[in-house]
Amino acid sequence: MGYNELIFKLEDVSYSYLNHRTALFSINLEIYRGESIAIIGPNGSGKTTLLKLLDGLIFPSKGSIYAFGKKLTEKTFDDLNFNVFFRKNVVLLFQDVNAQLFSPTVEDEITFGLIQLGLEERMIKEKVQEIGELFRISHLLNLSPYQLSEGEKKKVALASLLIIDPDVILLDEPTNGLDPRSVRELLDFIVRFRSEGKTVITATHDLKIIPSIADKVYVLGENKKIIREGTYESIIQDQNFLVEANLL
Amino acid sequence: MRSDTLDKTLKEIASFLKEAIIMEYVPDSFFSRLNEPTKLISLLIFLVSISFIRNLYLLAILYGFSMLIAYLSRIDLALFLRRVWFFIPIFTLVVAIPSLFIVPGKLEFGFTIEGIIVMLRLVLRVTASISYVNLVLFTTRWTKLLSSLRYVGVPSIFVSIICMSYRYIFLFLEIAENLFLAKRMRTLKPDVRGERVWIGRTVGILALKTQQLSKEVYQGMVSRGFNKNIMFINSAKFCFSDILTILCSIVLNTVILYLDRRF
Repeated sequence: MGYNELIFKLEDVSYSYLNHRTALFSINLEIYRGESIAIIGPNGSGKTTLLKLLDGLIFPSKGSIYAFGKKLTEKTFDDLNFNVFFRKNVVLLFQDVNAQLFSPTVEDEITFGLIQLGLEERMIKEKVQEIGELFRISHLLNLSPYQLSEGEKKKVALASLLIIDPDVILLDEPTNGLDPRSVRELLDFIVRFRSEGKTVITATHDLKIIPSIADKVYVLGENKKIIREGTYESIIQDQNFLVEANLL
Repeated sequence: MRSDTLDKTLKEIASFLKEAIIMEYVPDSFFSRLNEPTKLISLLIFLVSISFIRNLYLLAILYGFSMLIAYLSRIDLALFLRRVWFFIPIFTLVVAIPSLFIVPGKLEFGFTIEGIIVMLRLVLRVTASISYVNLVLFTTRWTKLLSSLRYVGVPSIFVSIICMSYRYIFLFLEIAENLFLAKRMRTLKPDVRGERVWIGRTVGILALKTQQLSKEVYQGMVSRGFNKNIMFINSAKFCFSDILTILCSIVLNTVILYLDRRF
């Protein structure tokens, strides 16, 4: 498949927490529309930070990020039109879904994004019904997020992101804490997004799921840099590298 | 204080909070089917009226009326009474007792009749008010009730903060309970001083976790298009039964206030 529209470009991006704890160091990356990418690496290698940078939630301490041809800075998001455009097209599934399910009921959660984007009430109701049936969560709509199992929480969080039909889906450790059936269901959804031509970027250290979710892999090392990139096959076969990178 | 007293206190606080806040089962009835703004508006009418009524019989009638609605709404009356009489009316009684002796009037058995009336009026007012508040709580889901606050003029940003606080209370209760269980599992010889130090540290840990989570929640909101002005769907629809309920509340309370002024 040929990819020609550049969505994200990272130039020498570094990020430090509290100005001294380096979370990412000198990252150079280009991501094109329709690509499926896995970012793998051991705990603390900067996967979550990288996804938050791509989602415009934090901004580089050094270097630049471009999304849809625009440099991402706090000021860029002050432009309401760009903010709406970006938030409509890029979504992030957090590793800790509890942080993402902040509304009192599942229905409020699912409608939150649509309401913020200013959709009409009638359309919102139609979309809620559609997504409820697609994710098989219609029976959960009146419940509060604390009453859900971990698998249900992930499904609701994903439904609340996908209801706005984004082009770019960022997933942070999506299979963490899920039972095998929930993992299978989640992978089915990711396969579906890929077949619809969406750009899917997944951060994980679960090597088994990579063939279903990505055709290109970036490996973040303990030195917070990209230490390798390639296809799943080329990386998984290099056992010495995987052990050295603390992935096996 | 013994160390197991601290343990029990923590457990009791957690279970009380859960019981007080988690009221998931709402029996189906005419009142549970009313929309939330209607219930809030009617509640406000009753509360204002109760605070103006001086006649003890009328206050007792209003309290009885709340019990009748509770019965018709298929609420567990034992639980309802426990909720109403737990804490507040008893505390009010303690606060009101001095009025038996300090309100001037005719002395009977060491205290004045006027003092008894003042005390009974205060206790009845508080009890009737709590009874109506509980009636709304028993017939409405918390989440819907909180969201409907904006119909009575509470700014939406405050409503969303309250809703989020409600949502996260459970998460932190769970974390606090797990911390407590993890500690108990590894404690062989509990001592009071150690327990106190542990509680202090746990409060610190929870405060840090709260700060961390609040940052993540904010990022979660921004990621989904939150832009300082939070918006809601205006989903409450007023139908005939809602309008009728509000009208009945106004008429009933006007009549009672009129009777109170007459007699």
